[in-house]
Amino acid sequence: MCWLMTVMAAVLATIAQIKKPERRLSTLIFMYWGAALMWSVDGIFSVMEGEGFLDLSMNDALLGLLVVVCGLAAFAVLNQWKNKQKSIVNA
Amino acid sequence: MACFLVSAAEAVVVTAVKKAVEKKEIELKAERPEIANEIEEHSISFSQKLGWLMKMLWGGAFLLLIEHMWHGEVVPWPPFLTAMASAEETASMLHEMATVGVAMALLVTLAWVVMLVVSNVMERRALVKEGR
Repeated sequence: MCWLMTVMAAVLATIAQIKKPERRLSTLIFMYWGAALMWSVDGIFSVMEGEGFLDLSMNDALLGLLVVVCGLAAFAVLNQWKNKQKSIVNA
Repeated sequence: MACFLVSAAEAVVVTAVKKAVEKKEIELKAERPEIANEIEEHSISFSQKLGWLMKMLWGGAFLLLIEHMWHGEVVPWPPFLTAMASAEETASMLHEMATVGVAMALLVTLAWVVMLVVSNVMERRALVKEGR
């Protein structure tokens, strides 16, 4: 579920960026896609060890939600920091 | 266990390379502004392209860190990785880093290479359309 939710977040962020390019969501998009790719590898190794690719438990769904929220929070903090840097340079 | 550390290590290297490339691009802009502006107008700078890889690696490593904290594999006190409690677990962690961790870093880098190729093709097509 965590992998699935991260992929969904990545797809939604990509669509939002394509629809409105001035949104500047590239950091968020790359963050989600990077994590989704990494978890894909984790999933493939799980399959090779005889386990399932997806973990559909409630615990993993909550983790997925936390990951998406943390991604958004990190993106917001980075944006604030970048804006602050820009205002210092412009001053 | 600690597979994200491989991607984080690659992210550190890529960040350093990006800084060096950025410095060179700024130097070129100062020395030969006409060439630098021409390149800037028709293509995405290499430092910006390195930024894509950097964001994927740092972002992915950060979100995987959250996952590892959720599973209790990373803790906020030394030695930070619970797998370092015993020699057996440390060996198993290192094995996981060498297999899963390296594969993760390779896949992200491969995805970036594909993005580079697509971007270069698009830049060339744009130049051809302009009749250059």
